Amino acid sequence: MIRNSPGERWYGRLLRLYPKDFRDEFGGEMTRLYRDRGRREPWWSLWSHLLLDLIRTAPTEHVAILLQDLRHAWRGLRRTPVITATAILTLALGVGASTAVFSVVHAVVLRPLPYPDSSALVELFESDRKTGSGMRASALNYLSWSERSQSFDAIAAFGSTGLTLTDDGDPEMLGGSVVTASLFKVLRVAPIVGRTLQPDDEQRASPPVVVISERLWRTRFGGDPGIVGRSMTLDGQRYQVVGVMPRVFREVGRQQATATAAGQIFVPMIIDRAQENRANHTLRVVGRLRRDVPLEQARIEMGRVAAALESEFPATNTNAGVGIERLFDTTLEPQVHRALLLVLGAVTMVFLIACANVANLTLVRGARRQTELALRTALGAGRSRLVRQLLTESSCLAAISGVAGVGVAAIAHPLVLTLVPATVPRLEELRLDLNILALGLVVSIVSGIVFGVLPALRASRLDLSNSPLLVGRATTDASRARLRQVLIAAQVGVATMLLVAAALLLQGFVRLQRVSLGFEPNGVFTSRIALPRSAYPDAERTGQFYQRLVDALRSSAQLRSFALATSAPFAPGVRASVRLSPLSQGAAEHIVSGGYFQVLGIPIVAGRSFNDRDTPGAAPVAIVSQRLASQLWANANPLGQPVERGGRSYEVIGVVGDVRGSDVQGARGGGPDREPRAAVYFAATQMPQRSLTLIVASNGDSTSVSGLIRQTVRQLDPALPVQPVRPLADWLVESVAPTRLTTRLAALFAVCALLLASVGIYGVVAYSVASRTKEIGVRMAIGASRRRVIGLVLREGMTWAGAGVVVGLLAAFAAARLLTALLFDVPARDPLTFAAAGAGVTLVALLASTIPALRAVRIDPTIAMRAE
Amino acid sequence: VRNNASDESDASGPLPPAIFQILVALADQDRHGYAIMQDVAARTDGRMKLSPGTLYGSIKRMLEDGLIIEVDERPDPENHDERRRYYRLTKYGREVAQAEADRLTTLLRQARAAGLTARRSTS
Repeated sequence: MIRNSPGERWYGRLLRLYPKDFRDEFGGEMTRLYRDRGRREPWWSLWSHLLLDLIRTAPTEHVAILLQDLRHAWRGLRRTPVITATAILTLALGVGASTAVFSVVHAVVLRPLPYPDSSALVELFESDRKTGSGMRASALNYLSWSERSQSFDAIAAFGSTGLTLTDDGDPEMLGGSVVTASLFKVLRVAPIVGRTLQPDDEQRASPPVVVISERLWRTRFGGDPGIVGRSMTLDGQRYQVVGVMPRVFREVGRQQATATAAGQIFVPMIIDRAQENRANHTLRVVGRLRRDVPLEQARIEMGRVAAALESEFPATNTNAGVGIERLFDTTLEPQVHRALLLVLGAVTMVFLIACANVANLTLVRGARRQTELALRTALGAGRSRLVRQLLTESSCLAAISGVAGVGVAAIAHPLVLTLVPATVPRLEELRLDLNILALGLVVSIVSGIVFGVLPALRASRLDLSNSPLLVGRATTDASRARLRQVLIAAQVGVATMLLVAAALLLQGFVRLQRVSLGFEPNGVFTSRIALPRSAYPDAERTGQFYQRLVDALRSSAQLRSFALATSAPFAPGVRASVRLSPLSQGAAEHIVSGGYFQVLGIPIVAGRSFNDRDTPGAAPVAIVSQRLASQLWANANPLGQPVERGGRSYEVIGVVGDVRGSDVQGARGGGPDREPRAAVYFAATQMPQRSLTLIVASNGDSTSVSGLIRQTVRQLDPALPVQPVRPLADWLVESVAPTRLTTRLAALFAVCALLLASVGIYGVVAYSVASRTKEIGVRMAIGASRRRVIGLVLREGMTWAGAGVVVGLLAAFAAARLLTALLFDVPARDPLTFAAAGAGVTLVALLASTIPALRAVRIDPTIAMRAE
Repeated sequence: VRNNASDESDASGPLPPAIFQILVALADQDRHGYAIMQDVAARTDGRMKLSPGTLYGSIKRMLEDGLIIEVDERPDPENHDERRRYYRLTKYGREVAQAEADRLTTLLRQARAAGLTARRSTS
């Protein structure tokens, strides 16, 4: 025996770089060659030659095997076209749908806000210590917070505004915000052009300046780089443009402005301490926490500030706390947040079902190929070689599915976008992210490979003595069959869960649409009118304009009724909260004209509505909702009772029905409030407002109503812009859009899951029938009835599907609490829904196994017995 | 198997040099790997030294394509090494080598006619 030299041993080790088959075949020869050459050549020349050779040829051998495997794989996949196509389609749909949905969830829920160091951003609001509900801050309270707190680098206040641009062409209403200069410091966004607003701009004596949005700069000014210094006429006043802010800069936090016209201009907020009232809650406040201050510490400090203000200003600040939440958390409505997470969960489940399906199909395929693999093993193919080939096959399948999945995602993306209501915040940040596409591709390939490895490992554990070649196909691998059945049960279970969730959401949605709103939206149209300060500087002129408008509308035969109000339910407008002394009861505040209750069909339960006698000089009057009346006076008669608002007393002259608006969250997108909110109504004649919603009831359509209103307003003031007229019902539809979306998606995914699971059941039962052809033939030959055979096959499919249904129902029962917040008026553990969903899934599973069962009884015993 | 080989060794396409050299080395007698290497080196004045990876990579493909086979008989019973593997040209391999030689001859004739071989006759 020749002892190997160290060089030989090293060369032997390096040979491991070659594929195992190659090494087994030629490794010995190559080592011998090394020995032969080593005797004649200097070591350095030999080794440099060998290393170079190794680097060049080892990859070549691997590629050669890969190409061979790919050819094999392609042939193998083509041999079972139905299984291959099903696997690819399943995985592609799973990957595509989850990628598309994930990109939405990522943009809206997961991605940090687009500001530097955005985790330090918080929203501050006044909170009612009694009810825990939040409301906007008053200007004076904001100033007090700002002056007395140490926890923030800066805090800023802002509110929505609309200014009329009258430079050239038709007057145009530009939506925007009145902001404190500190907002730019809080959000840390730099202007594209020019400068931001400065504290100096907040002085009443300073010349009026405006910062415009990038969009307005591009659309109205053609992106003119010399924009700074130009002037704009807004509400009849000359404003100098000082800067342009990038797209990311806009109103932030809850109740984000979503109208397309919003967020175009930013004008400085000028707070006149002498004019302000702490009871006037109109501002939203954001702050940037100091680096060393945790949120909890800021809460404690603001609690102290609130307590101090409460004792200093008891009339307005009793029970008023300060709430602080991370801006990231308040940007998205909790309702929308939960809904999106639910959809993400659902799509993940569908994806898992898809993976289980692919695993199942690969197992079935692997079982079919057992004979082929056994034959190849018998002919000398090593286990590693077979595993390598099976892996190549599943990677191949996975790669095709992955690419197809990315394609599906690209197609689905615009569809998902059309499904998502425009009121969902941050949507403009959404685009099909390449990173997410890449993630989808990787996930599909990894899952494809993982679910290919399982069968590959099983298939390679072949024992020749036990191989189907020798024993016949009737011996099926019991554990393999068990794995398939468990996968089926899991699929059915997940599908059951999704179906339960979808059915619950669907019921909730139906009830949501049927809920009594307390008003009649049909045949009602709304529009906004905002009077510019320049032309209507005081209450008198404002009041005169609206009086003339009312007179003009009254003479129109086209309108059944009409009213002016700060807002109409669900339509955009001013939503304010008020605290009514002496009980400091919080309520939604509406300032309305006398026709408000008639035009909306809100019943007057007691007393009267406002009328022409409720003039500014007359006794101040108020109307309360039934809910507020019972909260304030329980069983006493509310009529004639006083309510105090901002230090002034109002006599209650009427009680009206409760309205389910969208006031609790003050949000759009949440749908009607679960409970009607307590509301107080004041007379528009006694509290003149510059901006009001015009509400009209008409038998005409939008166009005719729109024409009428436009014409009427033109006649009164040609310089006044009129916002588009929309049916009130449209706003209502828009407000339930997220709920409708969630419901639709949940239903869609439940159906997908059910389909995929039934494909899985069908595949497994059909395979089982095919592999038991002989056994079934024998049974029928010795007299088994068709019913018996059908029962035999059905039992096979239904045992595990049934187990899946039971497990799915139990899991849904356990997880039901997560759904509660999304359900409108439906118990999350509604037994009828659970029963119906369980029955539905069972029925589908029964159908899926019936097809192969019927095929089984068509087996001709004589042919079946000859088959093997 | 032949079909595969004919894809690569069709008269229209040239044979990889290493494969042609191995075919030539096996034309007169069966040889083992090291002998093939030595023969090729001798015929090319040491300019072509087949490295182990190239040699056995080529042999593997030639076996798969049916150009050569492995044989158990030893050409020189006195001096053989029992453990070495010997290779023999198949009839098909001979045809492929012949076709390649013809192709090269034609090519050489054309090159001469074009006056290309005047400066260097061996290369």
